[in-house]
Amino acid sequence: MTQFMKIMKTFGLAVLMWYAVTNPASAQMNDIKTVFIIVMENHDWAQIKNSLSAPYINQTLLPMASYAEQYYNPPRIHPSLPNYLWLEAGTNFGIGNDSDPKINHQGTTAHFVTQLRDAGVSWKTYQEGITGTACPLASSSQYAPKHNPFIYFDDVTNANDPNSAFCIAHVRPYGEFAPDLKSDAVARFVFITPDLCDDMHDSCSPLEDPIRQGDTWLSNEIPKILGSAAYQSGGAIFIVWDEAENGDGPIGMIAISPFAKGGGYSSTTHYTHGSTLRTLEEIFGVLPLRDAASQTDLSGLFKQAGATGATVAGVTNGASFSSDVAPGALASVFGTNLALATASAASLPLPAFMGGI
Amino acid sequence: MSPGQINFQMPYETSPGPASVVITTSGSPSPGFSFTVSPSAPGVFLSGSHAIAQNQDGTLNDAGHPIAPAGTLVVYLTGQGPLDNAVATGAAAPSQPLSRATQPYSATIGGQIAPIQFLGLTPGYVGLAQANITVPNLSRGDYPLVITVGGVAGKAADVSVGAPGSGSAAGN
Repeated sequence: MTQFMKIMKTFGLAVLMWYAVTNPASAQMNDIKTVFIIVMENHDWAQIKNSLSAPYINQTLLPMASYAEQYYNPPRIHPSLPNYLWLEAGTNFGIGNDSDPKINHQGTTAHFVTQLRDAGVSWKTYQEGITGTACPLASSSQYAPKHNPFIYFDDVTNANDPNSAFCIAHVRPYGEFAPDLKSDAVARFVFITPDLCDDMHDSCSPLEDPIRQGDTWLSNEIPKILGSAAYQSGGAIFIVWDEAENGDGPIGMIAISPFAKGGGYSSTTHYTHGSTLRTLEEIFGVLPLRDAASQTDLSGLFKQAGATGATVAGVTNGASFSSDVAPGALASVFGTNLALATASAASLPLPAFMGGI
Repeated sequence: MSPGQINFQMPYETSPGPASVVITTSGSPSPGFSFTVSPSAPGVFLSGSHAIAQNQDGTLNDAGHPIAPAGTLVVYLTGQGPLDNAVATGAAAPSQPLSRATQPYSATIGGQIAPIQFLGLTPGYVGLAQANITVPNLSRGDYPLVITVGGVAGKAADVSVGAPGSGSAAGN
């Protein structure tokens, strides 16, 4: 069989993917209908890119994604909480610690998810490690409030009320995410916080490697999003790190979307969390808040209108290159502009999407 | 995949009949390309005009490594059609249980019937099938192998046959 694989590679047939027919859509960031943002923890981009501990990010996600090479946390903003607040409100409100909402709660309504509420746009955050029976205002096991910015706003929690119905309705256990995806019941803005083992924050058994733990988690979870109707009908996934381990960055920002340039496109434009907030606000048609108003949006990671599309010239049997193809068979599409770059599937099952295709 | 070619697995969910493929690149869809999906479409993997096949001793069948008559040749193909044990699109075939082709199948080498002992998915691979074929009694030389599944004959692929009791069939 080893000999066979060598032959397969010779013929380029180790490069396999199954195809998905997607709906025609405009190639602009503003056409995104559903946003999934996943926040990872405490690593410089240099620690992630090309890391042997991050095979899924480097071998699967980046070849299909657009990503930033010069994305920073706001200058000297640390530790975690102020960065999460910045993503939500364009400021840290002067906070420089990770204390719980009972200390750091904010009375302002000028923050993103309230903008969404006022605009009639649905939102929900899925937090790994919470029960969903109360508004999770305090730490429990691997769940950390400091990684859940929404519960720091009084209009979300009814001023730190653990029984706040609004909070409980919008802050849900991560275990509900996959069923919601499957039933196409996800909100238009979805904020995902893995737990402290899965977001690269802590070193946890059995891997004892925070980067590998997060990479493994992403490898298990991202395919669920990619396969969802919400993603395929105009979704975008942003994977961003909250803060650098050394200084302010660069830290990672990866964008995956049918509207992204994809194909491993990388940008050297200077971005910050204000850029992400501005981007989210532009996507959902609300005004940029505070720092977001003065930052560059992430549109450079997305395809501009008028780009040349693919042309299919033929479909053949992947073995004999005859015109006979059957369900389940390996097949080949020939044409022009079919992909932005050469890429191959790195794992099984084969991905439904690769390199922006 | 590359700008000029994408290799993929046709979803098992695709119904036989007229179909259209659209390639969406970073949000821009191509015009649809129409083609026909058959219930089965056996295609043997080729190196030039030669089948990619393993002799009984594991060597790759070619003129320098022919298989003797009565030996078992493992020929790799795709498009075997429906299976007795379904496999999810994109997933590797399991070894337990094996997934065998359910449509009638046959093979000829040099026009002579070549009994197929097994036709089904190769465990551990996606969309890859194998046919374990008994080589008929032929004199030394290269012969066209044709595999037919569900009445659809695949494109002929050459296999090399050696002298009886010699070469890669030794020990059969």
